[in-house]
Amino acid sequence: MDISVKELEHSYNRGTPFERNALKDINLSIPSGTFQSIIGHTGSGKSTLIQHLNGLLKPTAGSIQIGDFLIRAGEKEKRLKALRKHVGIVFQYPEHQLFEETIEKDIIFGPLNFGVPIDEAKQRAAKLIKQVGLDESYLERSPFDLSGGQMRRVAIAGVLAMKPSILILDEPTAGLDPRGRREIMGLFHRLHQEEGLTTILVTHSMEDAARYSDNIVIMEKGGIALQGNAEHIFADSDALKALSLDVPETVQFIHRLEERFNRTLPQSVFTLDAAVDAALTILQKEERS
Amino acid sequence: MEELISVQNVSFRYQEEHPYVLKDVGLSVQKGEWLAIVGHNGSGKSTLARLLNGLLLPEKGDVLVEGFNSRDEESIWEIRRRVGIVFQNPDNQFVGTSVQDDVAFGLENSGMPREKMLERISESVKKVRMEDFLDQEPHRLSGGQKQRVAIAGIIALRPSIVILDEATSMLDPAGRKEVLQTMRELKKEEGMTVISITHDLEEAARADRIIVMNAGEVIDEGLPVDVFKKGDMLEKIGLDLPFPLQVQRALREKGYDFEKLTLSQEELVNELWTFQLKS
Repeated sequence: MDISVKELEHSYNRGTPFERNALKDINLSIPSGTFQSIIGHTGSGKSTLIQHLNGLLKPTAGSIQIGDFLIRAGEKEKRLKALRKHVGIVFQYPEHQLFEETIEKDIIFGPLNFGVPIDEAKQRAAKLIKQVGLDESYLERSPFDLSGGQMRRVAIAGVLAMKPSILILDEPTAGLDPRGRREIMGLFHRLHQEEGLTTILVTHSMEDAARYSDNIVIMEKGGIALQGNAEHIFADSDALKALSLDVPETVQFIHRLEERFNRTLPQSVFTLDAAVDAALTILQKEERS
Repeated sequence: MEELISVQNVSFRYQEEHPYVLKDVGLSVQKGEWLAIVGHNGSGKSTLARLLNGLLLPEKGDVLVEGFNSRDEESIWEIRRRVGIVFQNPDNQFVGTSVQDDVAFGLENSGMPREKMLERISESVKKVRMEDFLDQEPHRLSGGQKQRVAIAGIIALRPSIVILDEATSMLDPAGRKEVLQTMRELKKEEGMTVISITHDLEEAARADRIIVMNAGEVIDEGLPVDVFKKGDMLEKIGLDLPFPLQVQRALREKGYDFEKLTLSQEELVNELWTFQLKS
């Protein structure tokens, strides 16, 4: 399902003295099957934007088209429940939302709510628990005896159990240790490819945004400040600095090398291997000359 | 060097019959140092922090803060006055309705006269550069600002040690820089001792000393350059190397041997420069 956001505007507490414009003039198109990252400081409007994508918030102006669902300011989309089946959101610290007695019950809660037969829901749970890196023996255990990282995996399985075609991730790795972060991002990357999902990642990590995204949006004060692919976004480090954002550390490294060795190097360097290769070209060329 | 905290053979578990969260932990904290404690989620770091200011008490062993033993009921307030903790979630530790009230909270509890309290508040709020926000309500502040107010509330009580328990992990990069910068200034100007529990290895690389925890045990301790030499060990227990060290290690595997371990990008680029001058 393609997503198309047009002239979206949202203000909180409309018509009161506390009215605050949280989003203005957002135009964004996310083609089906792409990986979209959203970056911006706290308070820039990222969370407000993603809550529009499954109808949790309604626009005060503008529209959001998701497949054949249309959400428009002032109009009621009667099929919100159907829309929410397609759009799964993994909120920040999703482990805080676990509540059932067993992990299995927690995972099948969503599907049952949407009318999935219990046998099928349980089959999904059995498959998903493995996909998120735990084994089936966990299903009968209480989610509250798990470590924070494991609880997060269970909560993610609960969202995946709805079989969403659009998966929205709001800082999914916050608070995890480096291995946990790598594993969770690896999981989402794999799901994105294997299941053909449309993935929308809200993140503070320039490295993750650069590595996984087809497109990146940078938000600032409720609007879109920059958008494009990683190459485009990170080519202009001054523009990012003006927004007090950094470029990925691989890009910083390339800039430092270029400056020190007075050389031009390939620009779209977003992985460790590519950064090492760049350093090697310098070492090798300098040796020969 | 003066020892402020001494942890001796401490074991701890949350309930009997549950596995031990800390096993025979021993460590010492020196006055004026920035000590980073790293380890995977669930390695016991945060439990350790809570033992250091007497929020939790050891099942076995002793925790001594400037000579006060946390087992001793009469010492516990002496310990809590000396060791302040900034927790992870900025919203869970803001208790006042304004910045001023929030900083006053701890002072009021300690029964300080009003005049002296106002003085302390204005002094601490200045140190974290929040003096322009005295009457602000918490929901008008960013996460980084809230954490700085939490720090002000702690330093108003004149502790000798501030523990950051993943205090920057819920902040955006700008907020993270803000908080760390504030703490570095306090360390430099006030001689504050800082214990930082963190997953941010770039931050740990800038500490004076690192302690590595794994499954409830202290498995390594030393200067950042020495700890980061053991890259394979760190990766095995779920941690990562800072980026400059990863690059350096990959280059070493390709046959480029460096004299010096480089903890920052700047050092790494310098080292590459020296390397190509010699070859």
